[in-house]
Amino acid sequence: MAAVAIVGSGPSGLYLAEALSKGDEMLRVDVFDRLPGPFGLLRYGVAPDHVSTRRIVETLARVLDRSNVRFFGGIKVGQDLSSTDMLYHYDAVVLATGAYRGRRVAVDGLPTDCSRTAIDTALWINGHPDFDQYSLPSAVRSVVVVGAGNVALDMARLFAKGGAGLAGISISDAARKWLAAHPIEEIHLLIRGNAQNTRFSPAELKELLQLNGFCATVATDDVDGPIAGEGANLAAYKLIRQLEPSCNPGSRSLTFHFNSAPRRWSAGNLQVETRHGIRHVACDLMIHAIGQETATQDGLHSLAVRASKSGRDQILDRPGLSYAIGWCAEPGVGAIPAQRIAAQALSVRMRTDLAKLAAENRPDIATYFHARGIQPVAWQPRGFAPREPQISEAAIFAAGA
Amino acid sequence: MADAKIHILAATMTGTAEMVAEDIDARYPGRFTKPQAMDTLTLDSLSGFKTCLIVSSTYGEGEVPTTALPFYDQMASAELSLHHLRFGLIALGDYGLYPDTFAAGGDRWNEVFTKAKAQRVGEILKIDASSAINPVEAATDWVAAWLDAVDRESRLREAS
Repeated sequence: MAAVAIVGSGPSGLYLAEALSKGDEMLRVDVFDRLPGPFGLLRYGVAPDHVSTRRIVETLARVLDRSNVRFFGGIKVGQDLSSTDMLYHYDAVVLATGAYRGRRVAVDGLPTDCSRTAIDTALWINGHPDFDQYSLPSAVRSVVVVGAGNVALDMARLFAKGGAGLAGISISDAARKWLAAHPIEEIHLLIRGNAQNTRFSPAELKELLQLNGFCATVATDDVDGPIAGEGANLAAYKLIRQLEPSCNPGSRSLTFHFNSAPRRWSAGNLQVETRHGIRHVACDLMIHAIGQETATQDGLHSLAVRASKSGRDQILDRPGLSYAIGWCAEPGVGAIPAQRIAAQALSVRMRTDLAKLAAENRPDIATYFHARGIQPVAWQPRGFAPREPQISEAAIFAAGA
Repeated sequence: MADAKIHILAATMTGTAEMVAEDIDARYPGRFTKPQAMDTLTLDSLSGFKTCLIVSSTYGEGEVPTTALPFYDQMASAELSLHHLRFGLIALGDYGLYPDTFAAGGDRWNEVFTKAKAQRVGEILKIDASSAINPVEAATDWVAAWLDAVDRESRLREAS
């Protein structure tokens, strides 16, 4: 029985584990995560109020319940065991470590304390263990979100909802406290391109525009111009065109700025370059939502990139099969469902590659950990029990708590 | 034949519809074939089915999952006479984010199967992923009643 190691238990890693662990030809699949609990992005990156997306964990939890799948939580590959160790214990190693370093736009004079990435903010709100000492600056009443995708909408929505709007939603205590203490009066969305070429999902845009208590507005001279043809996001554009050109003074506002780029910051004032010159926007906090990149950690990044390019590669001094999947290989390419499709395709390729290998009796990685006094956090199988009451999110994540 | 196995067909984006299909199969052993992804379905295979249960999620603004779109398009453009085929429909959706097109992936399947002259048994079950409803529980409970309806209808057919 061939043994496969998957490093990372986010959607890519677990969809791959799903595809590899079922079927007639049995494979042994071990999933590693540097955090004690599984689910990666689904647990810590997805907007906490998007319940249906977060509930994909209920589906992926089933994969970890399978008898030929094991989970090793709290294991840092590159530290607790090397890539060489990995390849000694497994016929194939797959990197699925994601991309959680947010990219930033450069703004002259913007202090680091007022400049945060969307992914860091999401990880903090969702209680990621690396962010237990993190906080947002004090005295914030105006938030500027830079970006034209759904993550930018997520950020605008979470700040607009604030503490009251997120009551009953599972978020970190620190984030709840901060949001309750900082009711946001102004939210600005800064979008470099025009209003017709956003990557906003119309449903998520509508969700934001329909939030109570906020007046959504856009300067008409920002959205004027001929309708672009192919590739235009006309459904989102229609919603944007219907917005008011201005809000009543004193109302909480959500303002869309198109063809706009942040240039210079000074004492809470942001200079924004537009087609019609410089516009001044209040900015106590800037959230960069312009995409993510693979974080160079544990020396895995170069391996992942190399593996994803060749498909089949030789890592370090020992030959072996290695692969990369998901955002560690291609940052920002494909949403969650696309990772499932990619995982199914990769599993087919891997089965072909593995079938060509001579059968080897590989030692169990558990023995390696035991000999070194390393205690991985195991997944608690819940068994097959569709009639049981729904397992709460808290219970699902208790494995890693 | 009343005891012919019912085909479960799953059209999924995130795997949840597939999970629901697998759990229905496990809950009613012997009644269903192993769940089949609609990605791999052909019009030919469909003409051999007597009864099928479709479990489909909804993609974007009320569309069928992209994985099953090729098969959907085949059905939509073909002239079919599937008088012998009975079908049931379970549709998953997100009412919170898509109130206007909630679980409409199921309506799309209903349209093409109805156009192909297949007979739907039961109403379409729509399950909201933004609610506290457990999709597996909701679906498996509903299937009990749906199977009764299928069996009742089979007996009527045999009697006539």
